Amino acid sequence: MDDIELIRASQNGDLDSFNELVRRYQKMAYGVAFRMLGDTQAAEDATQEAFFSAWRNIRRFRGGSFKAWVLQITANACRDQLRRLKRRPVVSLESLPYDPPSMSTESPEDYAVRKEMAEHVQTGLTTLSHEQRVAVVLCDIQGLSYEEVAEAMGCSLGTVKSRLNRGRTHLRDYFVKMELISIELRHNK
Amino acid sequence: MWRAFRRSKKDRCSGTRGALSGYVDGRLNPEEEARIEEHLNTCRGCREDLESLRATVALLRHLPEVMPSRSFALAPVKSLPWRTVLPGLRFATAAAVLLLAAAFAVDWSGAFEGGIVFNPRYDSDALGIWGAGTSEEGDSYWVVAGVENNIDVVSQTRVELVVPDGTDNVSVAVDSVAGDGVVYGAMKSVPGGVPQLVLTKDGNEVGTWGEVKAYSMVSASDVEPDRYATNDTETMGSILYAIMKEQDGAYLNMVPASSDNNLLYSFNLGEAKREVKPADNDDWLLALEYGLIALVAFLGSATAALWLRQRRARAAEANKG
Repeated sequence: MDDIELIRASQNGDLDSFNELVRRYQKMAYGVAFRMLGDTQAAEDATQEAFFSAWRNIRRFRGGSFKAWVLQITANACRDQLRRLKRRPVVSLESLPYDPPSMSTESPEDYAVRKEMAEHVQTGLTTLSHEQRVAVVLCDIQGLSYEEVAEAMGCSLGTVKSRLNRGRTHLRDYFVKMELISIELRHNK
Repeated sequence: MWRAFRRSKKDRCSGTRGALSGYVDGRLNPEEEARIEEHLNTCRGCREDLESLRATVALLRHLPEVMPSRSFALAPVKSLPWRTVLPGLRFATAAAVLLLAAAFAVDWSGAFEGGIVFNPRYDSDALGIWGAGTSEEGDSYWVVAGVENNIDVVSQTRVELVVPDGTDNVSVAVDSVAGDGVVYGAMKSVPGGVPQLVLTKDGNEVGTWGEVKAYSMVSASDVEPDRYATNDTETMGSILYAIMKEQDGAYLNMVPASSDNNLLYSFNLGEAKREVKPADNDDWLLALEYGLIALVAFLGSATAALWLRQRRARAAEANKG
């Protein structure tokens, strides 16, 4: 069954069809949530909340990109989750958000470097405003097109471009400062 | 001039930097792209900016993919008990309260109380009949309605009593308003003669009968003079009760002793009928009331408990949400 059929069945109350959609999109939604929040537990909560919300509102989906629709709901769930965390901050004890992919060729040193770098990037992401972060996560990490990002963010293409530009520039400055990208660039900037 | 050149270069750099992000993605139109490339050829700073931006994007694109540790598929929600039970419980409570109110109303109306109950349709006062019904609630003796009469109560008044069921046990009840208490009259058999009516009060024969208002029960067409009576009050009560109740259209007659079966008064019982009930038969009503009170208490507390639980659950859900 393709997405459209599954969506139609879901709109008629078929939870199994909806869960098939969940299985198709949960990795992506979770990925966005994790990059938005930087915490596995918070990301799982936000993702679950997003799919709950999607199920409750599935009848309101009126065509277009289902992926963009799901991501929009996920981004909103992340914002809610952030607000909640701000109200009641929890100390996350998990510092390893992803399992090391089984790369037989990667040495422990390489893995450690990669892991440290990923952590810096994650920290850099949290310094962005919500809108810039959504744009960067969707476009650069999830690989969505400008059009899809605009749909997911409910804004114009021009807005996507400027958010992306400001977000990337801000991140670039952060990465330079953290020496994640080569030092001479910092001098010559 | 040098300053103007510098300013224009600065403007060009700023314009270029604003478009570099789109340039990296290949999202500029051809003219814009050409202009950017032309500037990049001449401006090392902007070129390095471009490279750093590319490096940034590359860093982001090569972030390791994160995998959720669980599935986010939704489980079918089991309908919570109160969602289905509470409305029914509320309805049942309301119904029980209404039933209880109805039971109280019936109790209040006295429909199931014992003793003599006057049939308002045959109210003796309304019919001009002197009503003499009296009874202690729950007792089986009672007094027949009658009329005021002018029988010489001092003399031996004989009243014939014939009971249609054919038994020899016949009786009559007499009411006196002359003194306190009830005066009973019973037929006393006189061997070889006509049975006599003897009035008693408190178990003793009454010498002065006062205004006797008790009469024989006969069917007008069915007078058999040689029947005789019993003074058993229980029998008397039940027999008269039976007659009064069942002999619709029978007549209540009074026959004075001095005459030979001359009818002195005759009333159509169909008109003057009264209903006499045995003792209170409302025990079941009382039981029903107690039962309903218990039911209302149970249902009411169950409803309240579920309602509270629902409120708490909703509050928890709201907190969570």
